[in-house]
Amino acid sequence: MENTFLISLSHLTSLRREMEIIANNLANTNTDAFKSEEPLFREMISPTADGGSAAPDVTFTTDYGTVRDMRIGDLLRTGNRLDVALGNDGYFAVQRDTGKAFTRDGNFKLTNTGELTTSDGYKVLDSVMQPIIFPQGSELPEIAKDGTISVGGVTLQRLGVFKFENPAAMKKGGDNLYTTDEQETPVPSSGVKIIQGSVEASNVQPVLEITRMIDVMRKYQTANQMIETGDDMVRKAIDQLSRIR
Amino acid sequence: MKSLSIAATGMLAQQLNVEVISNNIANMNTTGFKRQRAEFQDLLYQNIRRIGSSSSDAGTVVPSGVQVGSGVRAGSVYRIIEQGNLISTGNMYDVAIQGRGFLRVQLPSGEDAYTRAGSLALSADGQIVTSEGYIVAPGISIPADATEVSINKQGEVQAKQPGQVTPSTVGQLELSSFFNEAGLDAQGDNLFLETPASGAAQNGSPGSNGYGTILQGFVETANVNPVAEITALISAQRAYEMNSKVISASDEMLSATVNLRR
Repeated sequence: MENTFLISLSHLTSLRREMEIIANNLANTNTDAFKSEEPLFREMISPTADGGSAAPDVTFTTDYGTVRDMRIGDLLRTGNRLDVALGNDGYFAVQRDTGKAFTRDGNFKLTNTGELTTSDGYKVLDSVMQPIIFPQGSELPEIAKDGTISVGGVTLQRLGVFKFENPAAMKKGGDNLYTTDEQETPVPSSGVKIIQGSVEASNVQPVLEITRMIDVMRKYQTANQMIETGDDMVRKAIDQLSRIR
Repeated sequence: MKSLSIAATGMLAQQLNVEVISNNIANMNTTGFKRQRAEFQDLLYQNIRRIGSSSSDAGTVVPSGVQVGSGVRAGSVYRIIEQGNLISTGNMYDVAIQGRGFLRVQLPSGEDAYTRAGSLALSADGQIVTSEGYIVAPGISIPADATEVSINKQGEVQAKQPGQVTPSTVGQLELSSFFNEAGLDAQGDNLFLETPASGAAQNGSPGSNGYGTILQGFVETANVNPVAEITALISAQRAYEMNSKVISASDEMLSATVNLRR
């Protein structure tokens, strides 16, 4: 009998997790270069206590992963000369004190010493993983499609764009950054398409998320109903069994 | 329920977004105004099943773990330094800056402030001042009997006095540029102050390398694009509504749980 409760409980727990992911997607509908995520569920088979080959196994549900929708978000024109969007896959590399991180969010800024940084002040790296520094008193840069930065006709460095063999292994680190394990090595991306004066919008599709949200809500209510029915059955059993004496 | 607090961060973020957009729209006709944009970032992720953790003794690893985010926060609200349109006013002391640079203004406190709003005027003692009466650096006095004042592209101020054939140069406007113009501290009244983020002001004359030129009789309008702002406003409002729906959905889920035991 407890299995009804436990299976429903596993269902409720995974639905809550799914709701959290939907909430996070919807909270980030206006976050630049945000990639929406979806949980993956699977069966977890457990033999029943009373055993026997005839007895069917009990299956619980559990979440085992999240998939990231890597589709490119819409291009949002900002008009800012230091904003860049990536028109195809790849990541910009940034230097943090704890190591390198990667991002698709191209809201770049200049520091008072002319270094190109993210809005959190992490240095943006060029194609050979070196910081990008602008000469004193320079005009705003022109960034070509392949990432070549030039100021007043003088070519400086090339904005680094890197790819990974397995992008799914990249961890989201918050602050629009992704981190990787040591096993994954960044490879310079070929065929880079950089658009200056734009940023990549979030790829969250609100209609989809809201539909999923309603679906989760109703499923949650159904699972609750299941527990209630199970509870009723137990109560009735106790009631009737106690009457026959 | 974590989704309640996640949606709350989403609502807060969109609220800030609407505030920034409304300030842009309110300043649509402010001389020299530069529009702002709110940039958002995702919050820390909770690793429920860590990516790359081993899933068996044989050394297989989890290819994509379970990571649940905790919402959104404002990364920065930055100013977009894009040239505004130039509008002819016909006023001889109005100047517009075409290209990079700010006019330097001496505040009554003695500090320097910077502005791109070039609606200038003359003070009682003949000095070129801003519309608040602050002296425009380096301080230019126009002779009281000047019949005509011209300011050329390089910022040279020339005054023609009665009985003279050629106008005489009475001063030179200066421009100040910054490495990181987005890092200036907005003071209201169209004025900006230098900050450690912006870097020190580099003074130079208009038209020289790295500085814009001066156009007399024009002012620079705000670089706000009403269509873009309204579109952004709609998207922000809808995002706000959707986050509120998440809150009500989470609430309903919670109440379903609460009502389990009646």
